[in-house]
Amino acid sequence: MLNNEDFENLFQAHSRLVRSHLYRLGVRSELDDLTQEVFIKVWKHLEKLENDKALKAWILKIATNAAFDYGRKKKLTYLEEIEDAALVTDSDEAALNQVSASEAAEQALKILSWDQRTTVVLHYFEDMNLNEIAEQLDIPLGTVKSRLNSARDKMQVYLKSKGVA
Amino acid sequence: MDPFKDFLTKNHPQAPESSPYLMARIWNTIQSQKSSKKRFLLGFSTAFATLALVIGLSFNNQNQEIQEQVQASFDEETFILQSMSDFEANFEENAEEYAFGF
Repeated sequence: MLNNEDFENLFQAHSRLVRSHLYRLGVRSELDDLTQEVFIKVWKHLEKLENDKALKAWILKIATNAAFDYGRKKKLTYLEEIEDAALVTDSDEAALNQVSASEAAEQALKILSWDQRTTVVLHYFEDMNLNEIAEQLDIPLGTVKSRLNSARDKMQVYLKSKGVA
Repeated sequence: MDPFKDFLTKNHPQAPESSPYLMARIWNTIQSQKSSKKRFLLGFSTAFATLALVIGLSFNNQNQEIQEQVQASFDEETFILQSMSDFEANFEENAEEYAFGF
């Protein structure tokens, strides 16, 4: 039977992973609430998990789904953010092109569609290979490759326009 | 190393630190969800037991009413049979008297 101490260990070991993943996927104002939602789900089904090695991937999957639901509920804000970022990309004004590397990295993820962003975050930040991503997102390997390629093209255009790449 | 990976991992801002009370808050939520589930199950089983009792009592009452009705109709039938039998006995005893009457 799992107890308070087990929960503390689970939280200490994975809270940074969950928060960073949610943040990279675009969750901002409700980061604590979504972290809570993810940990409640993980805790509820933890005893059913047979393979401990799969824990990280499983937690990431739950976090990805939570972020997706959050994005769907907040559809307007979410789309506005993406549209704003796209507008900035198209702008020729030199002043707007002066962004820090940190801002550019954040914006480069924001201009991606949800599918592209998830693929990029799992591949670059969580070090998952293409097969693992395909399994994680329940999509064919070819789709992962094409999402990653189109995401790279989009980010390259954006980063070039900012003089970063 | 992939230049995109290098750039993104080095420069993407970190998620802000969580509130120091977040872990306790989540644990409390888990505990309260657990006890509300228990309360729900307890309430549900109490309601079910009450419903079963009410149905049982009502069935018992109905059964008793039917029994009373059957008993009453049985009594009534017995009374009629008895009356008929008394009449027959009485008729046989007084047959001669009746015959004179005609």
